[in-house]
Amino acid sequence: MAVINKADIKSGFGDNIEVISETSELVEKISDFKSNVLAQPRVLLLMSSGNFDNATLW
Amino acid sequence: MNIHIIACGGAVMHNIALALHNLGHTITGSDDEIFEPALSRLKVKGILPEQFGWFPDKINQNLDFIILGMHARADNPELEKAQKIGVKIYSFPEYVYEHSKDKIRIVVGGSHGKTTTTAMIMHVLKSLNKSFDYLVGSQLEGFDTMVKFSDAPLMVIEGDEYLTSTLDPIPKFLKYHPHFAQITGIAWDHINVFPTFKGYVHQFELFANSILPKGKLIYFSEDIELQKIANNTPIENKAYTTPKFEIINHKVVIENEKKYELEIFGEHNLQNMEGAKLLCECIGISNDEFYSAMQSFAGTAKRLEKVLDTKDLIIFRDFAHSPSKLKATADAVKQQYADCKILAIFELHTFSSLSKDFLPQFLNCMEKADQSIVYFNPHVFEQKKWQ
Repeated sequence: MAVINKADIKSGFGDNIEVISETSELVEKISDFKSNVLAQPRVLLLMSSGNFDNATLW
Repeated sequence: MNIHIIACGGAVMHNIALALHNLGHTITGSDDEIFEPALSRLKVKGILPEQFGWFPDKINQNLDFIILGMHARADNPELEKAQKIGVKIYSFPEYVYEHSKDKIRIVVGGSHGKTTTTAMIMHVLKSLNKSFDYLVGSQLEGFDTMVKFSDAPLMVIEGDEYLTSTLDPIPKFLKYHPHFAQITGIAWDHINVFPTFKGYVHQFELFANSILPKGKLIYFSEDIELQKIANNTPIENKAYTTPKFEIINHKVVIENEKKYELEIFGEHNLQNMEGAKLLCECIGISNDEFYSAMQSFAGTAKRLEKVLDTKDLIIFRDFAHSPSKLKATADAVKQQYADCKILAIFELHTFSSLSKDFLPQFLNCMEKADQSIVYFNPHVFEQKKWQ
Protein backbone atom coordinates (compact mmCIF):
# COMPACT_ATOMS: atom_id res chain seq x y z
CA MET A 1 0.00 0.00 0.00
CA ALA A 2 1.40 3.39 -1.00
CA VAL A 3 2.40 5.79 1.75
CA ILE A 4 0.01 8.73 2.21
CA ASN A 5 1.40 11.95 3.65
CA LYS A 6 0.30 15.55 4.18
CA ALA A 7 1.58 16.67 0.76
CA ASP A 8 -0.43 13.94 -1.00
CA ILE A 9 -3.56 14.99 0.85
CA LYS A 10 -3.05 18.68 0.03
CA SER A 11 -2.38 17.84 -3.59
CA GLY A 12 -5.48 15.66 -3.78
CA PHE A 13 -7.90 18.05 -2.08
CA GLY A 14 -6.55 21.30 -3.50
CA ASP A 15 -4.37 24.17 -2.34
CA ASN A 16 -7.03 25.93 -0.30
CA ILE A 17 -7.18 23.05 2.16
CA GLU A 18 -5.35 23.02 5.47
CA VAL A 19 -4.09 19.58 6.52
CA ILE A 20 -3.77 18.77 10.22
CA SER A 21 -2.51 15.56 11.82
CA GLU A 22 -2.40 16.62 15.48
CA THR A 23 -5.67 16.28 17.39
CA SER A 24 -4.70 19.09 19.78
CA GLU A 25 -4.21 21.47 16.84
CA LEU A 26 -7.61 20.52 15.43
CA VAL A 27 -9.32 21.04 18.77
CA GLU A 28 -7.68 24.46 19.01
CA LYS A 29 -8.89 25.43 15.52
CA ILE A 30 -12.43 24.40 16.40
CA SER A 31 -12.27 26.23 19.70
CA ASP A 32 -11.07 29.40 17.98
CA PHE A 33 -13.86 29.19 15.41
CA LYS A 34 -16.48 28.66 18.10
CA SER A 35 -15.29 31.50 20.31
CA ASN A 36 -14.58 34.03 17.58
CA VAL A 37 -17.97 35.76 17.46
CA LEU A 38 -18.39 37.58 14.15
CA ALA A 39 -20.96 39.91 12.72
CA GLN A 40 -22.26 36.95 10.71
CA PRO A 41 -23.41 33.62 12.21
CA ARG A 42 -21.09 30.62 11.89
CA VAL A 43 -21.62 27.02 10.82
CA LEU A 44 -19.22 24.22 11.72
CA LEU A 45 -19.53 21.13 9.53
CA LEU A 46 -17.79 17.99 10.80
CA MET A 47 -17.53 15.11 8.32
CA SER A 48 -16.05 11.66 8.85
CA SER A 49 -16.59 7.98 8.20
CA GLY A 50 -14.78 7.19 11.41
CA ASN A 51 -14.65 8.26 15.01
CA PHE A 52 -15.19 11.93 14.52
CA ASP A 53 -18.19 11.72 16.80
CA ASN A 54 -16.01 12.59 19.80
CA ALA A 55 -18.18 15.18 21.54
CA THR A 56 -15.12 16.96 22.96
CA LEU A 57 -14.74 18.44 19.47
CA TRP A 58 -17.87 20.48 19.96
CA MET B 1 -36.41 -22.77 14.15
CA ASN B 2 -32.79 -23.13 15.28
CA ILE B 3 -30.62 -20.55 13.56
CA HIS B 4 -26.90 -19.92 13.99
CA ILE B 5 -25.30 -16.65 12.91
CA ILE B 6 -21.60 -16.66 12.03
CA ALA B 7 -20.16 -13.17 12.69
CA CYS B 8 -23.17 -11.99 14.66
CA GLY B 9 -21.63 -8.83 16.12
CA GLY B 10 -21.76 -6.44 13.14
CA ALA B 11 -24.20 -3.57 12.88
CA VAL B 12 -26.62 -5.34 10.53
CA MET B 13 -25.88 -8.89 11.69
CA HIS B 14 -26.72 -8.34 15.35
CA ASN B 15 -29.92 -6.60 14.27
CA ILE B 16 -30.81 -9.66 12.18
CA ALA B 17 -30.16 -11.81 15.26
CA LEU B 18 -32.47 -9.59 17.32
CA ALA B 19 -35.17 -9.57 14.62
CA LEU B 20 -35.16 -13.37 14.37
CA HIS B 21 -35.14 -13.73 18.16
CA ASN B 22 -38.15 -11.41 18.32
CA LEU B 23 -39.94 -13.77 15.93
CA GLY B 24 -39.48 -16.60 18.46
CA HIS B 25 -36.61 -18.46 16.81
CA THR B 26 -33.78 -19.98 18.83
CA ILE B 27 -30.67 -17.98 17.97
CA THR B 28 -27.03 -18.83 18.58
CA GLY B 29 -24.09 -16.91 17.22
CA SER B 30 -20.36 -16.41 17.15
CA ASP B 31 -17.91 -13.63 16.52
CA ASP B 32 -14.27 -12.93 17.22
CA GLU B 33 -15.13 -9.58 18.81
CA ILE B 34 -18.40 -7.83 19.64
CA PHE B 35 -18.50 -4.16 20.50
CA GLU B 36 -21.13 -1.83 21.87
CA PRO B 37 -23.98 -1.31 21.25
CA ALA B 38 -24.31 -4.84 19.81
CA LEU B 39 -22.82 -6.40 22.94
CA SER B 40 -25.42 -4.99 25.34
CA ARG B 41 -28.33 -5.46 22.96
CA LEU B 42 -27.53 -9.15 22.39
CA LYS B 43 -26.91 -9.65 26.12
CA VAL B 44 -30.30 -8.20 27.11
CA LYS B 45 -32.00 -10.74 24.85
CA GLY B 46 -29.84 -13.59 26.16
CA ILE B 47 -28.23 -14.30 22.78
CA LEU B 48 -24.72 -12.93 23.37
CA PRO B 49 -22.17 -15.73 22.80
CA GLU B 50 -20.65 -16.93 26.09
CA GLN B 51 -17.16 -16.62 24.61
CA PHE B 52 -15.75 -14.69 21.67
CA GLY B 53 -14.21 -16.81 18.92
CA TRP B 54 -15.23 -19.56 16.53
CA PHE B 55 -16.49 -22.91 17.83
CA PRO B 56 -17.22 -25.67 15.27
CA ASP B 57 -19.06 -27.59 18.02
CA LYS B 58 -21.87 -25.04 17.71
CA ILE B 59 -22.53 -26.32 14.19
CA ASN B 60 -24.69 -29.44 14.11
CA GLN B 61 -27.56 -31.11 12.27
CA ASN B 62 -30.13 -29.59 14.66
CA LEU B 63 -29.66 -26.23 12.97
CA ASP B 64 -32.29 -25.32 10.39
CA PHE B 65 -29.86 -22.95 8.72
CA ILE B 66 -26.92 -20.61 9.17
CA ILE B 67 -26.64 -16.94 8.27
CA LEU B 68 -23.13 -15.92 7.30
CA GLY B 69 -21.91 -12.42 8.14
CA MET B 70 -19.72 -10.42 5.82
CA HIS B 71 -16.54 -10.42 7.80
CA ALA B 72 -16.29 -14.19 8.24
CA ARG B 73 -13.42 -15.48 6.12
CA ALA B 74 -13.61 -18.46 3.77
CA ASP B 75 -11.54 -20.56 6.19
CA ASN B 76 -13.76 -19.78 9.18
CA PRO B 77 -13.87 -23.04 11.20
CA GLU B 78 -17.63 -22.84 11.80
CA LEU B 79 -18.26 -22.21 8.11
CA GLU B 80 -16.04 -25.14 7.14
CA LYS B 81 -17.92 -27.42 9.56
CA ALA B 82 -21.28 -26.26 8.17
CA GLN B 83 -20.13 -26.96 4.62
CA LYS B 84 -18.84 -30.38 5.69
CA ILE B 85 -22.06 -31.56 7.34
CA GLY B 86 -24.32 -29.86 4.78
CA VAL B 87 -26.22 -27.31 6.85
CA LYS B 88 -28.02 -24.74 4.68
CA ILE B 89 -26.04 -21.47 4.58
CA TYR B 90 -27.51 -18.07 3.68
CA SER B 91 -25.64 -14.81 3.36
CA PHE B 92 -27.64 -12.08 5.06
CA PRO B 93 -29.04 -10.62 1.81
CA GLU B 94 -30.00 -14.11 0.68
CA TYR B 95 -31.86 -14.58 3.93
CA VAL B 96 -33.57 -11.20 3.61
CA TYR B 97 -34.81 -12.30 0.17
CA GLU B 98 -35.89 -15.68 1.53
CA HIS B 99 -37.87 -13.98 4.27
CA SER B 100 -39.48 -11.44 1.91
CA LYS B 101 -39.98 -13.51 -1.25
CA ASP B 102 -43.78 -13.41 -0.94
CA LYS B 103 -43.87 -9.70 -0.07
CA ILE B 104 -43.67 -6.54 -2.16
CA ARG B 105 -40.00 -5.51 -2.05
CA ILE B 106 -38.87 -1.91 -2.36
CA VAL B 107 -35.09 -1.51 -2.65
CA VAL B 108 -33.11 1.74 -2.59
CA GLY B 109 -29.68 1.63 -4.22
CA GLY B 110 -27.12 4.20 -5.25
CA SER B 111 -23.66 5.36 -4.27
CA HIS B 112 -25.03 7.94 -1.89
CA GLY B 113 -28.22 8.81 -0.04
CA LYS B 114 -29.62 5.29 0.23
CA THR B 115 -29.84 5.23 4.03
CA THR B 116 -31.57 8.61 4.15
CA THR B 117 -33.90 7.71 1.28
CA THR B 118 -34.80 4.38 2.89
CA ALA B 119 -35.40 6.25 6.15
CA MET B 120 -37.70 8.71 4.33
CA ILE B 121 -39.84 5.86 3.00
CA MET B 122 -39.92 4.19 6.42
CA HIS B 123 -40.90 7.46 8.06
CA VAL B 124 -43.75 8.01 5.60
CA LEU B 125 -45.02 4.43 5.95
CA LYS B 126 -44.89 4.65 9.75
CA SER B 127 -46.68 8.01 9.73
CA LEU B 128 -49.44 6.43 7.66
CA ASN B 129 -49.63 3.39 10.00
CA LYS B 130 -48.67 0.99 7.22
CA SER B 131 -47.39 -2.44 8.21
CA PHE B 132 -43.95 -3.17 6.77
CA ASP B 133 -40.65 -4.95 7.34
CA TYR B 134 -37.35 -3.23 6.78
CA LEU B 135 -33.58 -3.41 6.55
CA VAL B 136 -31.69 -0.14 6.84
CA GLY B 137 -28.00 0.59 7.40
CA SER B 138 -28.33 2.93 10.34
CA GLN B 139 -30.16 3.06 13.63
CA LEU B 140 -33.08 5.43 13.03
CA GLU B 141 -34.97 7.52 15.52
CA GLY B 142 -38.43 6.02 16.05
CA PHE B 143 -37.33 2.50 15.14
CA ASP B 144 -35.93 0.09 17.74
CA THR B 145 -33.83 -1.94 15.34
CA MET B 146 -32.23 -1.69 11.91
CA VAL B 147 -34.04 -4.86 10.78
CA LYS B 148 -37.62 -5.94 11.23
CA PHE B 149 -39.08 -9.27 10.15
CA SER B 150 -42.81 -9.91 10.53
CA ASP B 151 -45.79 -11.06 8.48
CA ALA B 152 -46.21 -7.59 6.92
CA PRO B 153 -46.97 -7.61 3.18
CA LEU B 154 -44.20 -5.14 2.32
CA MET B 155 -40.45 -4.88 2.91
CA VAL B 156 -38.31 -1.78 2.45
CA ILE B 157 -34.63 -2.60 1.92
CA GLU B 158 -31.53 -0.45 1.70
CA GLY B 159 -29.66 -2.05 -1.17
CA ASP B 160 -25.91 -1.88 -0.75
CA GLU B 161 -23.59 -2.47 -3.70
CA TYR B 162 -20.82 -3.83 -1.48
CA LEU B 163 -20.09 -7.55 -1.63
CA THR B 164 -22.37 -10.20 -0.15
CA SER B 165 -19.98 -12.53 1.68
CA THR B 166 -16.69 -14.32 1.49
CA LEU B 167 -18.43 -17.15 -0.41
CA ASP B 168 -20.31 -14.91 -2.77
CA PRO B 169 -18.40 -11.81 -3.95
CA ILE B 170 -21.24 -10.05 -5.75
CA PRO B 171 -23.15 -6.95 -4.61
CA LYS B 172 -25.75 -7.48 -1.94
CA PHE B 173 -28.41 -5.56 -3.85
CA LEU B 174 -28.40 -8.19 -6.59
CA LYS B 175 -29.94 -10.65 -4.12
CA TYR B 176 -33.19 -8.79 -3.49
CA HIS B 177 -35.04 -8.90 -6.85
CA PRO B 178 -37.21 -5.87 -6.09
CA HIS B 179 -40.64 -5.04 -7.39
CA PHE B 180 -39.80 -1.36 -7.20
CA ALA B 181 -36.30 0.09 -6.95
CA GLN B 182 -34.71 3.51 -6.82
CA ILE B 183 -31.15 4.37 -7.82
CA THR B 184 -30.11 7.72 -6.35
CA GLY B 185 -26.91 8.24 -8.32
CA ILE B 186 -23.61 6.67 -9.25
CA ALA B 187 -20.26 7.97 -8.00
CA TRP B 188 -17.32 5.61 -7.95
CA ASP B 189 -16.79 4.04 -4.53
CA HIS B 190 -15.35 0.88 -2.95
CA ILE B 191 -12.41 0.85 -5.31
CA ASN B 192 -10.87 -2.01 -3.32
CA VAL B 193 -13.45 -4.35 -4.88
CA PHE B 194 -14.45 -2.34 -7.98
CA PRO B 195 -11.09 -1.19 -9.37
CA THR B 196 -12.58 0.49 -12.46
CA PHE B 197 -15.45 2.96 -12.75
CA LYS B 198 -16.87 0.95 -15.64
CA GLY B 199 -16.99 -2.17 -13.50
CA TYR B 200 -18.65 -0.23 -10.70
CA VAL B 201 -21.33 1.22 -13.01
CA HIS B 202 -22.00 -2.27 -14.38
CA GLN B 203 -23.18 -3.41 -10.93
CA PHE B 204 -25.99 -0.83 -11.07
CA GLU B 205 -26.90 -1.98 -14.56
CA LEU B 206 -27.23 -5.51 -13.18
CA PHE B 207 -29.29 -4.14 -10.29
CA ALA B 208 -31.70 -2.36 -12.65
CA ASN B 209 -32.11 -5.56 -14.64
CA SER B 210 -32.73 -7.56 -11.44
CA ILE B 211 -36.05 -5.74 -10.95
CA LEU B 212 -38.97 -8.12 -11.50
CA PRO B 213 -40.52 -7.94 -15.01
CA LYS B 214 -43.65 -6.01 -14.00
CA GLY B 215 -41.72 -3.82 -11.60
CA LYS B 216 -40.42 -0.31 -11.97
CA LEU B 217 -37.09 1.51 -11.80
CA ILE B 218 -37.09 4.99 -10.29
CA TYR B 219 -33.92 6.92 -11.14
CA PHE B 220 -32.32 10.33 -10.92
CA SER B 221 -32.28 11.64 -14.48
CA GLU B 222 -29.54 14.25 -13.92
CA ASP B 223 -27.04 11.40 -13.52
CA ILE B 224 -25.67 10.57 -16.96
CA GLU B 225 -24.77 6.96 -16.08
CA LEU B 226 -28.25 6.35 -14.72
CA GLN B 227 -29.78 7.86 -17.83
CA LYS B 228 -27.84 5.32 -19.93
CA ILE B 229 -28.91 2.45 -17.67
CA ALA B 230 -32.56 3.52 -17.87
CA ASN B 231 -32.37 3.78 -21.66
CA ASN B 232 -31.01 0.26 -21.97
CA THR B 233 -33.04 -1.69 -19.44
CA PRO B 234 -36.23 -3.50 -20.47
CA ILE B 235 -37.68 -2.62 -17.06
CA GLU B 236 -40.31 0.13 -16.98
CA ASN B 237 -38.73 3.23 -15.51
CA LYS B 238 -39.60 6.69 -14.29
CA ALA B 239 -37.20 9.60 -13.80
CA TYR B 240 -37.07 12.26 -11.14
CA THR B 241 -35.12 15.46 -10.97
CA THR B 242 -34.37 18.29 -8.54
CA PRO B 243 -37.66 19.74 -7.29
CA LYS B 244 -38.29 23.47 -7.21
CA PHE B 245 -37.88 24.87 -3.73
CA GLU B 246 -37.38 28.06 -1.75
CA ILE B 247 -35.31 28.66 1.36
CA ILE B 248 -37.20 30.81 3.84
CA ASN B 249 -35.59 31.52 7.23
CA HIS B 250 -33.15 28.65 6.76
CA LYS B 251 -36.05 26.24 6.04
CA VAL B 252 -36.79 24.52 2.73
CA VAL B 253 -40.29 25.08 1.39
CA ILE B 254 -41.53 23.10 -1.59
CA GLU B 255 -44.76 23.59 -3.48
CA ASN B 256 -46.80 20.73 -4.88
CA GLU B 257 -50.38 22.02 -5.15
CA LYS B 258 -49.82 23.38 -1.65
CA LYS B 259 -46.77 24.46 0.35
CA TYR B 260 -44.84 22.10 2.63
CA GLU B 261 -42.08 23.24 4.99
CA LEU B 262 -39.37 20.61 5.45
CA GLU B 263 -36.76 19.94 8.11
CA ILE B 264 -34.30 18.44 5.61
CA PHE B 265 -32.21 20.53 3.24
CA GLY B 266 -29.65 20.15 0.49
CA GLU B 267 -30.38 19.51 -3.16
CA HIS B 268 -29.19 15.89 -2.85
CA ASN B 269 -31.72 15.23 -0.08
CA LEU B 270 -34.52 16.88 -2.04
CA GLN B 271 -33.63 14.86 -5.14
CA ASN B 272 -33.66 11.64 -3.13
CA MET B 273 -36.97 12.66 -1.61
CA GLU B 274 -38.49 12.97 -5.08
CA GLY B 275 -37.40 9.41 -5.81
CA ALA B 276 -38.84 8.23 -2.51
CA LYS B 277 -42.11 9.93 -3.43
CA LEU B 278 -42.26 8.01 -6.72
CA LEU B 279 -41.52 4.73 -4.94
CA CYS B 280 -44.30 5.47 -2.45
CA GLU B 281 -46.59 6.27 -5.37
CA CYS B 282 -45.94 2.71 -6.64
CA ILE B 283 -47.57 1.37 -3.46
CA GLY B 284 -50.54 3.72 -3.50
CA ILE B 285 -49.38 6.66 -1.38
CA SER B 286 -50.55 10.05 -2.67
CA ASN B 287 -48.31 13.10 -3.08
CA ASP B 288 -50.12 14.91 -0.30
CA GLU B 289 -49.80 11.96 2.07
CA PHE B 290 -46.10 11.73 1.24
CA TYR B 291 -45.19 15.42 1.60
CA SER B 292 -47.35 15.86 4.71
CA ALA B 293 -45.49 12.99 6.39
CA MET B 294 -42.12 14.31 5.18
CA GLN B 295 -42.65 17.58 7.03
CA SER B 296 -41.75 15.82 10.29
CA PHE B 297 -38.77 13.91 8.87
CA ALA B 298 -35.66 15.29 10.54
CA GLY B 299 -33.06 13.15 8.77
CA THR B 300 -30.89 10.36 10.10
CA ALA B 301 -28.07 10.24 12.62
CA LYS B 302 -24.78 11.58 11.28
CA ARG B 303 -26.38 12.70 8.01
CA LEU B 304 -26.44 16.50 8.27
CA GLU B 305 -27.27 15.94 11.92
CA LYS B 306 -27.58 19.21 13.81
CA VAL B 307 -25.73 18.76 17.11
CA LEU B 308 -25.78 22.42 18.20
CA ASP B 309 -28.12 25.24 17.21
CA THR B 310 -27.60 28.65 18.78
CA LYS B 311 -28.14 32.16 17.47
CA ASP B 312 -24.48 32.57 16.45
CA LEU B 313 -23.27 29.04 15.90
CA ILE B 314 -24.70 25.90 14.30
CA ILE B 315 -22.81 22.60 14.25
CA PHE B 316 -23.55 19.68 11.93
CA ARG B 317 -21.94 16.30 11.73
CA ASP B 318 -22.15 14.02 8.74
CA PHE B 319 -21.00 10.57 7.73
CA ALA B 320 -19.76 11.91 4.36
CA HIS B 321 -16.45 10.39 3.30
CA SER B 322 -16.49 9.89 -0.47
CA PRO B 323 -15.79 12.88 -2.74
CA SER B 324 -19.37 13.11 -4.03
CA LYS B 325 -20.81 12.96 -0.51
CA LEU B 326 -18.41 15.60 0.79
CA LYS B 327 -19.28 17.91 -2.07
CA ALA B 328 -23.04 17.37 -1.73
CA THR B 329 -22.89 18.01 2.02
CA ALA B 330 -20.67 21.11 1.86
CA ASP B 331 -22.71 22.54 -1.03
CA ALA B 332 -25.96 21.91 0.84
CA VAL B 333 -24.78 23.72 3.95
CA LYS B 334 -23.58 26.71 1.93
CA GLN B 335 -26.86 26.89 0.03
CA GLN B 336 -28.94 26.71 3.20
CA TYR B 337 -26.71 29.05 5.24
CA ALA B 338 -25.51 31.43 2.55
CA ASP B 339 -25.26 34.29 5.06
CA CYS B 340 -23.00 32.34 7.46
CA LYS B 341 -19.26 31.77 7.71
CA ILE B 342 -18.66 28.06 7.21
CA LEU B 343 -15.79 25.95 8.51
CA ALA B 344 -15.79 22.44 6.99
CA ILE B 345 -13.61 19.77 8.59
CA PHE B 346 -13.17 16.31 7.13
CA GLU B 347 -11.54 13.49 9.04
CA LEU B 348 -9.75 11.30 6.52
CA HIS B 349 -10.42 7.97 8.15
CA THR B 350 -10.16 4.45 6.80
CA PHE B 351 -12.74 3.30 4.29
CA SER B 352 -12.92 1.12 1.25
CA SER B 353 -11.85 3.80 -1.25
CA LEU B 354 -8.97 5.32 0.68
CA SER B 355 -5.74 5.04 -1.28
CA LYS B 356 -3.13 7.44 -2.59
CA ASP B 357 -4.37 6.95 -6.15
CA PHE B 358 -7.92 7.89 -5.15
CA LEU B 359 -7.01 11.19 -3.43
CA PRO B 360 -7.31 13.36 -6.61
CA GLN B 361 -11.02 12.47 -6.70
CA PHE B 362 -11.40 14.80 -3.70
CA LEU B 363 -10.19 17.90 -5.58
CA ASN B 364 -12.15 21.02 -4.52
CA CYS B 365 -14.92 18.94 -2.94
CA MET B 366 -15.23 21.40 -0.02
CA GLU B 367 -14.68 24.59 -2.04
CA LYS B 368 -18.04 26.08 -1.02
CA ALA B 369 -16.92 26.35 2.60
CA ASP B 370 -15.17 29.55 3.66
CA GLN B 371 -12.45 27.54 5.38
CA SER B 372 -11.65 23.83 4.96
CA ILE B 373 -9.52 21.45 6.99
CA VAL B 374 -8.58 17.82 6.39
CA TYR B 375 -7.63 16.03 9.58
CA PHE B 376 -6.00 12.62 9.75
CA ASN B 377 -4.65 10.61 12.63
CA PRO B 378 -1.34 9.01 11.59
CA HIS B 379 -1.90 6.26 14.17
CA VAL B 380 -5.04 5.10 12.35
CA PHE B 381 -3.13 5.01 9.05
CA GLU B 382 -0.36 2.98 10.70
CA GLN B 383 -2.86 0.44 11.98
CA LYS B 384 -4.08 -0.03 8.41
CA LYS B 385 -0.52 -0.06 7.02
CA TRP B 386 -1.10 3.28 5.28
CA GLN B 387 1.54 5.03 7.45
